[in-house]
Amino acid sequence: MAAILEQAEVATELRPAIAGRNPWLLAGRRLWHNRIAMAALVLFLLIVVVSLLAPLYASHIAHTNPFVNDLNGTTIVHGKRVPLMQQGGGLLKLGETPIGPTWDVHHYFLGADALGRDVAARLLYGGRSSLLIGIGSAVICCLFATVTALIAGFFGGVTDSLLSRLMDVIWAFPVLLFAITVGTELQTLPHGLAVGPVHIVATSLWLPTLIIAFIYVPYVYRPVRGQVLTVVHREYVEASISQGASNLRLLFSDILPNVITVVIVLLPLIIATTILT
Amino acid sequence: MSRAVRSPLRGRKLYTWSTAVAIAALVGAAGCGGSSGSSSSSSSSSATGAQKGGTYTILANSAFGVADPAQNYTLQEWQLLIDTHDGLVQFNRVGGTAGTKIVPDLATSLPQPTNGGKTYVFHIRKGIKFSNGQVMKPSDFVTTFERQFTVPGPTSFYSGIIGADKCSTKGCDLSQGVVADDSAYTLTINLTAADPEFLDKLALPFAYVVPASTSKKLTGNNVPPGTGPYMWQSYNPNSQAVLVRNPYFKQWSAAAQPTGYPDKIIEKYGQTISDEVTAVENNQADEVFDGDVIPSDRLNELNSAKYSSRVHVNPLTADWYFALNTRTPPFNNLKARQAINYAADRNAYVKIGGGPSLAVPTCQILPPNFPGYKPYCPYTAGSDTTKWTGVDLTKAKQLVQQSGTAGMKVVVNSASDDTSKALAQQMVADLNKIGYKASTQLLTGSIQYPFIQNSNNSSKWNVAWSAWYQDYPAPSDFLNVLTGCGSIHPHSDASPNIAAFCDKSIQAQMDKAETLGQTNPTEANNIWAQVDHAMTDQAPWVDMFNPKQIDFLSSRVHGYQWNPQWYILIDQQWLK
Repeated sequence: MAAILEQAEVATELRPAIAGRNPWLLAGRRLWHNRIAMAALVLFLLIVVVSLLAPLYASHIAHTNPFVNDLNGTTIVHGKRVPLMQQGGGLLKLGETPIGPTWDVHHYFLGADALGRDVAARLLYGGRSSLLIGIGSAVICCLFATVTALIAGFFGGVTDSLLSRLMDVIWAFPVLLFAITVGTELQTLPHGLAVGPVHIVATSLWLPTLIIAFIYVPYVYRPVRGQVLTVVHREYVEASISQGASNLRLLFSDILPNVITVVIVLLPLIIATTILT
Repeated sequence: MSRAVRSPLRGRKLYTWSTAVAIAALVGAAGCGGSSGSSSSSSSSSATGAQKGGTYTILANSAFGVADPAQNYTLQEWQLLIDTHDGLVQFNRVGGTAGTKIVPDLATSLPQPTNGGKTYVFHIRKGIKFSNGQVMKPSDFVTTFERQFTVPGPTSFYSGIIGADKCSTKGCDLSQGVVADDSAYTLTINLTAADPEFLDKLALPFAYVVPASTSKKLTGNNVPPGTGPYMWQSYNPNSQAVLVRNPYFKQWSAAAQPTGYPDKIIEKYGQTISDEVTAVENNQADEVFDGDVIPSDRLNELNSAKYSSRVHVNPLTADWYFALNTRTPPFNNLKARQAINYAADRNAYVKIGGGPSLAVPTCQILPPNFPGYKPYCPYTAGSDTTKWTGVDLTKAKQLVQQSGTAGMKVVVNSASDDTSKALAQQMVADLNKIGYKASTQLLTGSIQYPFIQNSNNSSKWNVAWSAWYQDYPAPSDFLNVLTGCGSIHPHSDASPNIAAFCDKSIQAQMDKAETLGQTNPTEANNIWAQVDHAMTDQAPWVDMFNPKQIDFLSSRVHGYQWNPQWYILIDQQWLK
């Protein structure tokens, strides 16, 4: 029996060590093998690339300025020059109808809108704004909500009560109504929004980005705070405390890594929500 | 009359703003009920084949707010109030230009004013009952006029009555100004000064009689009894208003208050305008409320042979315009104001408004076919200054340079619905072409109108979209109300001179025309024409176009008439 055990020990020592796998690599491999996820990722990247190329399309392919009205303009369809806005027909000739899709990338591919502007070019530019505002506001929202949730969950007591009640107040407003109210008020400021050294003009995309980020903070705050409350009582946190770790170290070295998974899951959901908003 | 906006106390509103209503045949030219050529058979005011009965259903996107006739200043309710209530006088209840004539209603005749034009003595008809069975007496009018001041609402129409200057929402005593004699059945109205437009003002629903027992406070959604052929059975702004026949009504004047044809009139609220169009196409309802702007993507259907005979297009005495804020740079400078007038692409604005069938470009304030109107447009390419033909960008840029305002930031305020937003965007484009840095500021319709009127907000915008529809056919209703010095009310949401423009010499001409109007209307109209041209030269506005109105009806509606004051005469149509 002892001989068998000794042989097993030798065999174990002689066997080469199995290297641990990096969790990010593992995740990447799983993603690679998931065909549906890969298809969605490719589509998403395609949309991003095409949106980023909007200026190229507008100036070099379509030769239009999608930001300037062109109600009296014309374009070429099947070799003929036609007006972009066409008066209604029949007996009454009511209305002015913009030209529909021409399926010609050089001449109003998706037609014109009610102001004679190229719909295809505007679609691409719109994608840029949507991605910018959507992703930007989601990131800001998650950042702010995570920091707030960490503070509330870690310190507890009055701090937690105050922050949580503030979030409840924000959450109590219907989201869109709140956003419209705040947006209207800020938009009518004659010199934009000025807070200390920061100055945002009324027409800046930062305004809708910040407003949308603000209204969705409670949606991220609550689940993250809940996770913080769970993690803060774990043994490794207590161990760190007993070793004299500072609050800052506890928050960012022990607690944050264990709640970040919640934020990672929420981030794409919030991006989708903010784009829709 | 103010524009079609949802804000309550702003003049007559249509509750839709992109009123792309057009009429091909001018009322004046047709000389009849007025309608497009596609519907000549139903435009006649002849009652051939007329029959009483049925329920006439109107679909409106939203209700008209509070129903108290002392406060409500919307066309939407007025089109119904003229069927349920009466005043001392009325606009002739027929289509065409004859519809602008004032005729006696509850008064037996139109009085000649005495005492230098300051006293009117009306003889009141006897034997007329309210819809609750009470007999109408002259003293009922005292309550009616006093309510105009005790109920929050527009008071300027009757502020010339003696005693009105001391009236307020806290109380009102017009016993010196409105003297009723119930035994002689007379009503004497004493004014502080002659007012040649006073009979027009008496024909507005504010002056329609209600019982003396009516509360002096706002009655909310309960409409007090009236003397018309119909009465209000119910009004719920969340669902519908229902009018049924007044059992006590007996016709006393076909010109002022004819008996109606339908037995019941229902106005339903809450559908989208596109759904309203579909319902009327399918004859599930009889009328798309003519203040609801039919979306441009539905207009093409109406052009088709299937529906065009049910469409009526009529010119409106109305303006769609951008007011220029004369309080602040750059438009406190005349050259800057004239520059944007030269640069404004009115053709583009017309296209946004629905095309040449629905909008006619203009440079001046008075609309066509209006008293005092003489065509004038100095801000055009070419030498013909009677009509707009094109932009003159060279001249515009020169004026901008001369004004020293090139490169300035300009905020263009407008409402956020599709048409108003598009108009604002076009204005931004026009401003940018001549060297300004323009941007839009879009507010929801119910906020936008009071916002631009209130001087507290004057630093926040430079150009503001608005629209105005006549209260009654008098030049002062446009020129004095919208550009007169007395129409600037600082810190108030009701300050219709949005541009805050005041020129004392032009004002003096307006005052002269108003005084002359009573004795020499022809000469007064000549002066009004000069005022209109002078005001156009001063350019407090960029006037875009005069809109036209569409009425779209079901196939069972007959007897359509267009009245320049009330537009579609609902109860004068019959159903077959």
